[in-house]
Amino acid sequence: MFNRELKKGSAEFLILSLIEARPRHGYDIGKLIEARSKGRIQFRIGSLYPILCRLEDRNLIAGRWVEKAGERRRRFYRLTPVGRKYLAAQRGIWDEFVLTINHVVRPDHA
Amino acid sequence: MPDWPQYVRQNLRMSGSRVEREAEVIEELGQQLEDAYAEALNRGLSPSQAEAAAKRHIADWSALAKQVERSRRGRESAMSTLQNRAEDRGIATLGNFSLFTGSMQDIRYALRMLRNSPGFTIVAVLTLSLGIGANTAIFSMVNGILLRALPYVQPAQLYSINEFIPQLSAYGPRLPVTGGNFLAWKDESHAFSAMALIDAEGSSLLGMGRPQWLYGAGVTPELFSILGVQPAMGRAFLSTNGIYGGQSEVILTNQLWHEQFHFDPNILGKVVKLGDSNMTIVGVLPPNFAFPRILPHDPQYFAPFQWTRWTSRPGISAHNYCVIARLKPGFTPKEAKAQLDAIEARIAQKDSGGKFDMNAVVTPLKMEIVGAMQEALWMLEIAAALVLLIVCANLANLVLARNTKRVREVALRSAFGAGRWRVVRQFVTETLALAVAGGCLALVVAKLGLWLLVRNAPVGIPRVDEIRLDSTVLSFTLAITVLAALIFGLLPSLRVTRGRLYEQLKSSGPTTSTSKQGARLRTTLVIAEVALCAALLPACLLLVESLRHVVQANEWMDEDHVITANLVVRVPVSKNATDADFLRAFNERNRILSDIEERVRVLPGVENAGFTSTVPLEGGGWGDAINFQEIPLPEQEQPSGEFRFASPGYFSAVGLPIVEGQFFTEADRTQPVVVISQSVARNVLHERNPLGTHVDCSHFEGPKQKWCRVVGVVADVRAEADKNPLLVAYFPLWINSELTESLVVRTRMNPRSATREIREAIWSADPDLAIPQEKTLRTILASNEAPRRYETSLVVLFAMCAALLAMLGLYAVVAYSVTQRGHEIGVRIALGAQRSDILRLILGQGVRMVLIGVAIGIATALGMTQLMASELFGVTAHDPLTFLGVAAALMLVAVAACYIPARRATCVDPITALRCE
Repeated sequence: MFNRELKKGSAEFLILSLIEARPRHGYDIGKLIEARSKGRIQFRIGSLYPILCRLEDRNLIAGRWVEKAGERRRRFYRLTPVGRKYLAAQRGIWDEFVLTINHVVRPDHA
Repeated sequence: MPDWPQYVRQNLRMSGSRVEREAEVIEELGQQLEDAYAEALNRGLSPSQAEAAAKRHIADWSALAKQVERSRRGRESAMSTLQNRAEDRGIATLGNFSLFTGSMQDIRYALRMLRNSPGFTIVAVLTLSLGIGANTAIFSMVNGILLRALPYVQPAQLYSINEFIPQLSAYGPRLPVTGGNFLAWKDESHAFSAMALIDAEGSSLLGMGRPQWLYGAGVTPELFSILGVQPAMGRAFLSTNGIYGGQSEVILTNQLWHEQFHFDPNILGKVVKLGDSNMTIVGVLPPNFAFPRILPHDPQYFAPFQWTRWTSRPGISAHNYCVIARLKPGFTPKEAKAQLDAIEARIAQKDSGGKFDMNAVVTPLKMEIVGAMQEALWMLEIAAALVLLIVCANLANLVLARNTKRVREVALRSAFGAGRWRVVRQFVTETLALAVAGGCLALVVAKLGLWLLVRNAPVGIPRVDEIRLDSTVLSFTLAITVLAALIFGLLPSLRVTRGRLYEQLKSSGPTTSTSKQGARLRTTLVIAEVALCAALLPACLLLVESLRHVVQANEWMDEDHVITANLVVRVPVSKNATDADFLRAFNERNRILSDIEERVRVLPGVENAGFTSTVPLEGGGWGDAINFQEIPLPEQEQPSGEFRFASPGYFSAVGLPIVEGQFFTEADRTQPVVVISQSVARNVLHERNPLGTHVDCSHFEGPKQKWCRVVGVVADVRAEADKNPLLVAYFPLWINSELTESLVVRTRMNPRSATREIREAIWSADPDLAIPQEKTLRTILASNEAPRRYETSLVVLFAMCAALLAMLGLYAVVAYSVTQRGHEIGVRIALGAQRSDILRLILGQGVRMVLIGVAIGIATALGMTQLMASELFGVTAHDPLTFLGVAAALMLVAVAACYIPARRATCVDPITALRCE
């Protein structure tokens, strides 16, 4: 639903925030984004997977294989300490960005 | 259900990735597609619809492949897998950490690994502490004695000046200075800002109970300002002191003020009787003042040097004094020497008409004091260093063997991305931890070792009070600790990180190539240890052999019942004394000496008594040319020897046997006679019959005569225990005597009670005669041999440690090799090899290593022993028996060390060995 560029720019932010509370596997992350955005943001596996790889490259997240009884093993991703700091910074930037845009487009609400 | 991993594999083409990494990507993507498929089914779609819905998740496979390949994930997925597994097992991971956090992790991990191997850790720490501790102790001595600056102002500018006469080189490379020459230097040389002359003297302190003998120094006034020291109380000497007729003043050392005057606060201005002079105390030196050790005894007082027309005459004679000078800024020692040499040449030309040359010898004062110790100390330092190297080699072998069990761990670390140097850093951290623990314990070992070394140090070793564990020594300890860690840690670490990763991960233990290369390195280390040991042992044996020869050469002096006492019998003469006055004083001195001898001779238990100007092994005496009337030679070619002045009773009292002819007796009083030593007869007279020849004795105090007739030849004596025999001519006391004559008494009584009686006998003849410490011949011999015994004991200790460690290392390597080759030995036995074949195989391995090590070590020793040639006595630096003996002994001990593991190898059960494989 949203502009492709908007989605692309916020993808990392979304992923990081969703695994802040607990580790999740790749498909779960995509489903959670879709669910919380009420279907307005959807990521296919082919789009989400490379982003996870990039985040892992930058040591913002760390993946590990987890095997549960009766299930095939899945790769879960967790937030690293560096990722935690990055997420906090991104939240701040995002809040300020939204505020600034609102100031411009809705000056009577500033 | 569709095979989603297969689907991904078919579509995702990742070029250049490793198999394991691609598999991970495929697995994950397959899993996600499966989740999408399952979810679509749950929504109610049919299987084919669900499959299509899942497949729609990835439209552009090539773009996906490129993006994944670009990421590190694509390249290193296997690393993450292993990293995660390793984290689960608690193995320290090596990810993107900063240097500091990585180092802290390394340290924590190292400590954990060492805690898990207590046996290895304890052995390593203990052996390291001994090796490092020994080096620290010896370096403390080297630092305190050789390296630390002298405790004076600008000590690098202080020099000792001596003289050298090439034609009289037999007296040594440095002679004391003539007083008149010193005055000429002071007047004519500009290279020194100040010069001071020092004369060793002694006096009886009278008027305070029994006379006390004090060692002192007659000095020119500049001495204290040259050294940069001022009296703590009172003042130094004025510049007028010492000039003819100067005041009789004295400056005390702090110790003398304490011992004789009990820190009397009113000491200044007090008059004390020293010998026949009344001296006013004008100063007391500070408690921390240490006079440079250039005199035979540390002075207890200082008096102005009294110039006379004799002492101020320049020339080539009366070389009696020490000189200390401060070099002027801008001048080099070479330039200073050149100036002095010009003055010396002029004096020599004037005094001898060109027959003799004379040069100045300018030596840094520190070298003058400690130079004789240099060779011995550096040799000890080398011995200690060799022991530490052997310790490191042994530990390297231990670490190597230990590391072969950690090859898989290294492979895991490398697989998850740790670079080689990162892994090496971890291993080196472990060895550093060992080395630091060993280094800390080494300080305790060093403290104890130092206490023992200093406590047992022979009396003559200079600057012993400067030996301590200071910041320089601690820095040295730290440096060798780190060096030791690198030596025994780096090599095995590099070795274990060199293997191929895939093979190591695949195998359950070290690969064949790793084993072979590890065995080669272990062998090399053992060869190195044996070589170091073989380099040190010949030096040790040569020193032991030298000591044996020294003891043998002087064993005639090992007498507890011969007591000596140096007596200074001073008969005062006025400053304007005539020759007749001097003769009167000479006769009076001889009368006193004869009186003392007679009173001592009649004491119960005394077998014989006599006087001599110099007791054997108490240094040199009156050096002069021994000139025979029958062998006329130019002055500069006459043999240099020693004149000694003795009473007839001396020879039997001291135990010197007559070889030819007879001793002089009282009946010879009207005859000018002399007795010569065996060396003179052998080296100067050669085949000529010595009895009846005549020696020049024209320049003595007594009745004037030109030639003295040789009446006897006595056995040789030495100036020091490990020097060659002197050329000595003994003249009777009635021809000449010295100011200091030594009483020698042979008694049957216990030496302690005999000494009391001898003192009383001396004081009955002259109550003002102070008696310095009496010594037996055995004491003189022991103190003479003490430095050599001390040095030899330490070298022997180090050599024995080196040999023990090297043989333990050899045993450990052979034993380990037997363990590693268990299967091979089992196969050999199964195929028919006899037990003796196995024994030969294993022994042969050990003997081969030792042979190579011994060959290298002996070759090195040939060079090393040449450097210590001056320390040897009675044996050459390349004594073939010594070297052969060392080689044979090492081989024997090596065979013994290899025998136990070799015997164990013959007991291998082939069935068990084959089954274990």
